[in-house]
Amino acid sequence: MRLGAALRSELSKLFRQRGTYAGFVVVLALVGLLTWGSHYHQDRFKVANELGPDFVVAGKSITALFIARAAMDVAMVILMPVLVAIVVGGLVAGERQSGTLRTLLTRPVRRSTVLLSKLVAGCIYAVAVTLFLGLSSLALGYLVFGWGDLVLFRGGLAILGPQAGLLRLAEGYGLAAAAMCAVGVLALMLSVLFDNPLTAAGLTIAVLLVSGMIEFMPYFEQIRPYLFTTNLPMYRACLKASVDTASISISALYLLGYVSAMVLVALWVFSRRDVTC
Amino acid sequence: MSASSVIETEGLTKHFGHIRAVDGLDLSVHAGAIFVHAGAIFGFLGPNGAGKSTTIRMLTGLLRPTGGEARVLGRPIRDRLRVGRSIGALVDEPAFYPYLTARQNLRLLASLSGGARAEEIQEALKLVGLDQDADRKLHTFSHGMRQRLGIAQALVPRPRLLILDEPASGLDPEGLAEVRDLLRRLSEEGMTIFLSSHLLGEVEQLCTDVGVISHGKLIAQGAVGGLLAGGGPAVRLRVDDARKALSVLADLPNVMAAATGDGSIEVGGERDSAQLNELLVRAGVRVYELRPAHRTLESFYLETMRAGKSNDRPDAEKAENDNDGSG
Repeated sequence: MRLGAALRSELSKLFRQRGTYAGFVVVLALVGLLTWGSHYHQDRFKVANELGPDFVVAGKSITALFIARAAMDVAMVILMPVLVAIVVGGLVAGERQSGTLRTLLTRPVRRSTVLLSKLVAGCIYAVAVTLFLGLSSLALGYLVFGWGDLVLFRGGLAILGPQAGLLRLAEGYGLAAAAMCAVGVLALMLSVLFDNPLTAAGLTIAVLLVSGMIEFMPYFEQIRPYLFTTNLPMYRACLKASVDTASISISALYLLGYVSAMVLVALWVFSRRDVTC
Repeated sequence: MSASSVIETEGLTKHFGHIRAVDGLDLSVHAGAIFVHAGAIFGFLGPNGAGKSTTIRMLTGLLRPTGGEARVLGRPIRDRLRVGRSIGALVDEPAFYPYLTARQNLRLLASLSGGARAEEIQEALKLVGLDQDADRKLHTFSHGMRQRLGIAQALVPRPRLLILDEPASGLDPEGLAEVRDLLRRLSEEGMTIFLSSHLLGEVEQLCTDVGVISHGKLIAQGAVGGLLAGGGPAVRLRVDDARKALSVLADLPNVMAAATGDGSIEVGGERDSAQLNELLVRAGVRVYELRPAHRTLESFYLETMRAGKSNDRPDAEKAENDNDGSG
């Protein structure tokens, strides 16, 4: 009923904290380093190196689109999940630790409304920081290298013109943002279950790491396709020469299943849990 | 349960594991316990760990009762949203967002209660004397200022019932007097106030009714005037060895004695002043002063706690000890 008001208050809290912007600063620093590295070590980043000796590549391959693609490749593996886990992991546990959850929940508002508003706010942060990664890498890449084609060499070779390349990256970043929302939901669930925001954030990363390790263990081969971390990098399908929409759809469905289950657990626990501190 | 009561509980119970924090609490005067009238200021007293905060947390929806029933303003506390619309609460230490100003904090919290007009927020800030500091960020506030802001947030939007858990905690004497005056004004306007406190002097000055809780059970209740009039006039003693005097007096039947904060001893119950004096002198206690004394809430409380301890059930003792042991 008061979801709008609760969401406005969550966003107001989230974006009035300096800590929220630390993630954006880190992302900007990473993009800066990536752009600087690409500029001063262009030889190492030549597409020809990736394609092997059978190909002769002429023209400019390092462009704004290349930087945006590389930024996605580099940041989505660890950095972005860590940033999302830290911020979203504190949304409930942080308020519980500081006592403000107590103040909040004496108000005539459903606990489910409070939690859903935090969930949406967390997802807005995840989307914002992911889009910031894409936009800042495009902007810095454009300033240093200018516009140009997007060369994709995984699963074949594709050279996309600036417009098609931008569209492909937009799809990729959209999927990456969705994946980071799924990480945010995991962090929020752990934030409901644990009192300490650092525990919630740390466990989020631990779950991702363990799930990622299981992926590479031969004994778990049969469950590999269903793992959270197997389906999380669905955005990578957009960085291949041709987009495998079927694999994206399957991954999206699995993630939706995980997200639904985690939201239900979080809602169930949050609605019943005693506020003792 | 009475339809006109503001707060009523029946067998209200809260267990944390095997610890009984609140153990079948009954708050209803016509059913044999307390009845909190509209416009009353009700003091909820008890030692640390007695179950005061747990009761308040159940009344405000922060804790789910293990058993029993509670009604606030005629509605069961399960109906948290409707109950919450008519109450304002300060539970435990006031907690706010340090990166927001006082005004922003109040606006944010009020938005979850359906919103409040800017004038309402300003009025609440003025009532607690924070209107000049309304646009300062909370991290610059002292403990006393936070405490007053805690009361202000409970007043936005204006509630029918104000529930305050230790509202005077951390306030200086001037702040105490201000909060006392504020609560009196609100009471005169018809607002019912339910507060827990350790400051018995403050409670005596402020409250119309009190209830005493020990080990999760209500052990005394009633109008302050009635409770202090009960037990007959007390005698105040000033002696050279208070401990020895108390041990002598403890052996007397139907006599209750308690050391007061200023080092003297207050004696109530069936006793004869001359006999008391003789008894103490014979026991080697020098009596410097023996005079009729106004019975204070402090002496009533100490007597009640002493009497309550002797009636404690073994499992309640065990729960308390376990609680202490767990830190």
